[in-house]
Amino acid sequence: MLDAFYRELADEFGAALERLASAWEHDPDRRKDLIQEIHVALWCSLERWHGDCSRRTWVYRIAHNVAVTHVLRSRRDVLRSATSLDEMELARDADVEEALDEKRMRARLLAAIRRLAPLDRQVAVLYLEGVDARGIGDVTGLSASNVATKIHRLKRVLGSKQGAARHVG
Amino acid sequence: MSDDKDKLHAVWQQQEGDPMRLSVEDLERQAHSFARSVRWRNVREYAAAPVVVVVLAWRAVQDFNFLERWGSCLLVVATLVVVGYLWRRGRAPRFDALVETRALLASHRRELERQRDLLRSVGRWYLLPFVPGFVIVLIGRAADHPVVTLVESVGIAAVFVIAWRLNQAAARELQRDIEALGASD
Repeated sequence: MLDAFYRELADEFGAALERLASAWEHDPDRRKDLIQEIHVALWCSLERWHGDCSRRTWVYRIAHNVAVTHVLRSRRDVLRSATSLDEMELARDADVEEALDEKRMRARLLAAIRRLAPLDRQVAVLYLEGVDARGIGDVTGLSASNVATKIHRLKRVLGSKQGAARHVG
Repeated sequence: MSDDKDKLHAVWQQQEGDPMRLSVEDLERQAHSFARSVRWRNVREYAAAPVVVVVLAWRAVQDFNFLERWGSCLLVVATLVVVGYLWRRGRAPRFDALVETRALLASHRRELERQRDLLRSVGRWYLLPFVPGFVIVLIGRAADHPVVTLVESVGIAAVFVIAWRLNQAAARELQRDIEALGASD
């Protein structure tokens, strides 16, 4: 029963968990460890699933919490060098927008996300995964209005760090 | 803006790589291995205490003079006081993957503050309890071995000072982490 449920979740959210881990861990080996850690945490939490929230909220909450804890425990430098949205918005004005291919755009997007402070980074990843403001609030504990404000600012920051979403395609 | 949003989503979701697959056996093995490593960590934290207590208790019943025996008894008591304090105040809370992240960050912040306070007050709860025992042992030894006792006294004092300073430095590092965490909220 639990095995089947776990496989179902892994099928449905496996790719999203990989993307999530890429936002939290740059190093490929450590990223692999983080993904394993997330899968094990999911597995260990299966018995506590009671359907109080959507499966997506539940999986994201576990995955993000494991990722945040992974970074807080093992990568002190990451937290200390995290950049606030205010600072990134200021830097945005100085950005030179240039046309980039998708690969470089993705690399820049990831680099921008990895610079964000934990909660902002979480909001950014969930937003990019297509989770709505209410869903993001359920995972993070932020109010819907707070999430909406953060998303608005993140779109400006990530849009500009991307540089050139508008020039491609 | 909507076009930008679509592009952002597309760029994000088209990341390459096959999702990791773990067998149920792998998951169970890793879950057990994690539980075992936590158990070993807990054992390691307290493993030194019984050894110290046995050695000091042995000294307390040996043929040393009265002051040295009483000093050793006080050192045994100090060890038990420190272990008891660590047991009550030093245990980290269990990680709960199901809470909202804001609550998790708040809990992490409280944990860092608790660790910082433990390190800051190390002189009071870790070093001070050993002082009476060491002083009495050293007084007991001073009559027969004045020079050696003097060297030992300086050595013990140096260890105390170094331990205190290292803990204060670690507390300052934690304070920086707490400030970084606060700034990121």
